[in-house]
This record gives sequence, structure tokens and C-alpha cells, in this order.
Amino acid sequence: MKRVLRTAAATSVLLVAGLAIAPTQADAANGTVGVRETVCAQDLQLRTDPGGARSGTLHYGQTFLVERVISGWAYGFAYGDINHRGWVQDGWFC
Amino acid sequence: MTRKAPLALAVAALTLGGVTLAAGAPAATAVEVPTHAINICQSATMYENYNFSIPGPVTYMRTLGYGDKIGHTPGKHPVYNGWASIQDFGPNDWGFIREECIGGYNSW
Repeated sequence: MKRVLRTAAATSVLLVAGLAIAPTQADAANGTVGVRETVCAQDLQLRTDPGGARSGTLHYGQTFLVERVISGWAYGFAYGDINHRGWVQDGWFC
Repeated sequence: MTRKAPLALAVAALTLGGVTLAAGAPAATAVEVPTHAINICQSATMYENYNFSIPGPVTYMRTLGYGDKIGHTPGKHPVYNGWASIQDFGPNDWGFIREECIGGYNSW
């Protein structure tokens, strides 16, 4: 009986861990050049250069047309509240 | 050995989950602190973004009072049609206020 309970507990942990991991992996994806990606981060800063000064903030659900990707940064056009080109940290698209 | 296996499996699952979740967390990106300044207007309206399709500032955030501590590095942080990108050192968030309301550089 104890073995059954332990096995059940372990299975539950695995299931919970799996459920916890799945949305995170699904929510964080890199951008593809030429694709108008949807922002999955709550806030995603638009910058003048990779890692540079902030020029706006994109929110969850807004879109970003990826035109170039360099070393973890994506350059493109930010739709929504900005409508301007800039750089965002790559990896935060749905 | 057999009895310990489920427990070990559970610990391994949690560890694996932790590592995977950590990998999905925001990457550490060093952002330079802007030059310290203050709001020198009696009151200054702070907006979240500057919308180039209007063009003009959008999404009201709050009204800053005279002397409120902000950050803006001239020549580095963008200014669009007189609206300057600033960091409000109260909540430490970012927005836009009128450029002429920024003064008292390095006064704090």
C-alpha cells in the first residue's frame, strides 16, 4: 500500500512539474525573420540598440515584425502603442 | 532500493523542473542607469509610450511633481517631438515626459 502511495505521489509530482514547465516553454520562443510575432512577455522593452536605451514598451499580445536577429536581439517594427522600429530581446514571442 | 526509487524520481523531476523553469526566466541584461535628474515643471504628465502613428504620447501613467527624481541621459535616451524617454525613480518604471521638464542633472 505504501509503495502504491509513493508511486502515486511521484507520478503526481511529475505531472505537476510537466504542467508547470509546458506553458513556460511554449510562451518563450525566438522570433523568425519575416514573421509578425506576438509578444508573450508581460512587458518587453523596445530599445534603440541591442541592450541600449529604452524607447518604448510592448505588452503581452501586441505584435512585432521581426526583420533581423543578431545575438539574442531582434530588430523590427513594433505595432500596437508604438508603431516604430527598434530592438527587443529575442525569445519572448509566442 | 526499490522503495527509494519513487522519492528519487520525484526529486529528480523537481530539480529538472527547476532547471527548465530557470532557463525560461528573463536573461540578465545589464542596462545602464540613466543620468540622475529631476522634474523641474510644477507638474509633468508621464505617458508610457510615444505612438508614431498619431504621432504623440499614449497611455497616461501618472503626474510627476516638481523635484521628483527621474533619469535621462541626453543624447542617448530618445526624444520624440519634445517627448523624452525617462525613468521614474519612484516606482522605477519608464515613460515619456516633456523634455523641457527635465533639469537638475546630477543634483542627487
